[in-house]
Amino acid sequence: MCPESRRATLWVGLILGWALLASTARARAEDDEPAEPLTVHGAFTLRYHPRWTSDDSDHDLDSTLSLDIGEASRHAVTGHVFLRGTADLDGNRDDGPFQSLADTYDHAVHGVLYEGYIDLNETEDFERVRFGRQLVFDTPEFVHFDGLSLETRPTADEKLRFGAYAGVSVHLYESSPDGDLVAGAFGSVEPWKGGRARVDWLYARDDTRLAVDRNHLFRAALWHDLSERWNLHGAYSWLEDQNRDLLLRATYLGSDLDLRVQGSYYRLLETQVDYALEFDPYYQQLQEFFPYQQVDMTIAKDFGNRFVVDAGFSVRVLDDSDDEGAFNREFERYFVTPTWVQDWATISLTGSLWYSDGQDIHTLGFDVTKDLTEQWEASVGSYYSLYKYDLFTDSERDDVRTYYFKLEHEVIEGLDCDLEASYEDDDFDDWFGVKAGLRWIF
Amino acid sequence: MDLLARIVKPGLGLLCLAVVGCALFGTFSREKPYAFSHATHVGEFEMACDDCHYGEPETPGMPTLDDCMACHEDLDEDNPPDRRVTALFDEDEVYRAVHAAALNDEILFDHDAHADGYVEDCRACHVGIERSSRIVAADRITMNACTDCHTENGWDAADCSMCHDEIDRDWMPPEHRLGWDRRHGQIVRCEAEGTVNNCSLCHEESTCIACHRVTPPRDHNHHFRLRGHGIAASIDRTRCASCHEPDGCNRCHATTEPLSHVGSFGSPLNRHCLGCHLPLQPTNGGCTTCHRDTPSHALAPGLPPTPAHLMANDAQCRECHIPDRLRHPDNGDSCRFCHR
Repeated sequence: MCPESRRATLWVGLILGWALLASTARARAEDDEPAEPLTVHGAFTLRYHPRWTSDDSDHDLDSTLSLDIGEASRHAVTGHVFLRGTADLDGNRDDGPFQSLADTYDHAVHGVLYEGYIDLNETEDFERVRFGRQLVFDTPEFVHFDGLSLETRPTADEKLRFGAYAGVSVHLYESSPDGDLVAGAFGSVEPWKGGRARVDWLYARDDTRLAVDRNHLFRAALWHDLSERWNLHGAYSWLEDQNRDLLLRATYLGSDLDLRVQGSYYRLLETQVDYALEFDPYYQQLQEFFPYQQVDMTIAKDFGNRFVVDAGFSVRVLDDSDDEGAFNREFERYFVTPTWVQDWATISLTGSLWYSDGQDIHTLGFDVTKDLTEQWEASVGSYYSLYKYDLFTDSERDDVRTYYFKLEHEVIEGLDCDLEASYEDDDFDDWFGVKAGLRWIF
Repeated sequence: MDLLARIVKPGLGLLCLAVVGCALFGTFSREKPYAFSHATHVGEFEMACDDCHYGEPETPGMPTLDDCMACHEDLDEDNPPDRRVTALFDEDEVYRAVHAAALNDEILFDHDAHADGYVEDCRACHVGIERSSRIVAADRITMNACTDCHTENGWDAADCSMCHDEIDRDWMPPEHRLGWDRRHGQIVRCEAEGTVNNCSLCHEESTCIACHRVTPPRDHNHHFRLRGHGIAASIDRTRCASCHEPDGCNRCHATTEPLSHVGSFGSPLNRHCLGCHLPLQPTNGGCTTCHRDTPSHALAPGLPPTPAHLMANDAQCRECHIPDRLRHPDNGDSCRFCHR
């Protein structure tokens, strides 16, 4: 068993063991005083996924389990587990067209533990005390670690709060966590009505095969609700002794006008090189990331209750056009999705264009979804993608046409079954795939 | 080309789209009907709110036609029918427009209790009503306003049952209709503090991960897994980082060659050589991403240690090493790049 599997098994065992003990203890306590029973909610999915081409095939099974043990508002201690398992049913793990990440292992069954933690909910000074494998989103970069995170309760007036976290980094697909560490702290305050400021420090140590990266990141961020409709956000960060990036974003959420607009400006200020994986995740594959500026704009507008349009664009410009290369490109992206809601069906069209040096992607798709009965829903659609790029001196086009059909059936409340069949035609082969499975929310 | 110039074109495109959409659906062409002006009555003539809104004890009520006619009988005498106050009432003399602040039936709200017990001025909730020339949807009381005030006064804004009679797990806010699956990212990203934008009010934090782990974007088809993701990552690598563990890339590519490494890519034709050597690219097109220590390249013979060789530039190399006699995959742009 590899170190990652041992760690995952340990966390799952600890949490389920605690849940069992807590249930037993509460059952005994029921004689003396009323106690809230420990509830378990969650979701379970199971999918069978066979795929074929003209001369190859693959049969996989994929499953996820999410468990929320206890409820924060009722129980002093609650737990959460989220894991995924994949099984190769036919032993086809060769370098064929269906090879996947799970097929890079020697065994047919592969599991990962995404989350497994326990929360202490009734501590006087802390709003959150979390112990175990956790993924933190509101940090400057997502951090995934086995360890402890704390967050204080906000003070009454300016809602001043602090937080800290530390643990061993979780790199699910690395063979060993030796030498990996992540730690950080933050402070947040609401100095005026509608305003919020937050400063973060994040440290990561990543022991790779070739080197040990130790990096500190600092970020200052500000949010301000100009009104109920307008929200502004800005953030600036420093990595090591260099400026790293700047983000400015404005959002208009006018529910009365059924209009949402979001515009953002991002600038990467310095070249990103070989930092810890948390800060520069793609260096190993894509090499340096050169400074650029990017503007994104999205608009969503409802026209009555029957018609809605989503549209937007992104434009990226490199600071130095000489930096443009295989993995540092300027691009323009445009998309538009009109959706019609009719009594007999919901119809949507999606078109997007990516323009980049030598690599253009055009996509066009449609989807028609119909509620056959209260329990049955069917969808049919098609999707087209054109990838066009230069390989050496030749131009290459990859015309990919996908057709799909989906059927969903609510067997009982909380239990859904679904079936999806897709046919794909591209420059290399014809593909046929099926996904059949169930989802149980309990 | 600078960034500003690049965004003008798509910006104009979006603007055109919005104008055409609005025009098509009559936003510009809709004639605005005669409406009641609070700016005139409250602002200009300083009338009190309860001069008109006296109604039932539990609700402020709407004025009757007789109330209005006390003044408008003379005022409207010379006005056309559609500009008279009678136009605001139906045939039963009931005020025609739905009150903008009217709440859904399922919401538990006691207007008297709020007016007498918690706020002294109607404008505390009906902000800016005295400046309003017509009631529009934007004048309605929002949930954010309720929860802000409740929070300031020590109530638990997350206690749904305080205001809502029907708390149904399957019920979703009106904003969640029509393509919400595409739009909810906007709300999450802006991290607005308002209650209605607070996902955690109804959703578990774990719901985000559970859904995003099992629902890939529509363009992640077979071809994308084989080849498309490389193209997409080369254009915008930050897009991948939204969902994928970065170490997954390293793991997979440690054992999976790019699709271009097939056929004549290796021996006997060694088509891969031309990737760097035609023309010679000091920063080659991605070979060093994986092949950082290719031994054969380090074995290129060094220049003979004579002054003539060590001082020679590329042109001088070719004076003796005639290309016809020099069978080499390189086109000879830079001899000294390998032969040092």
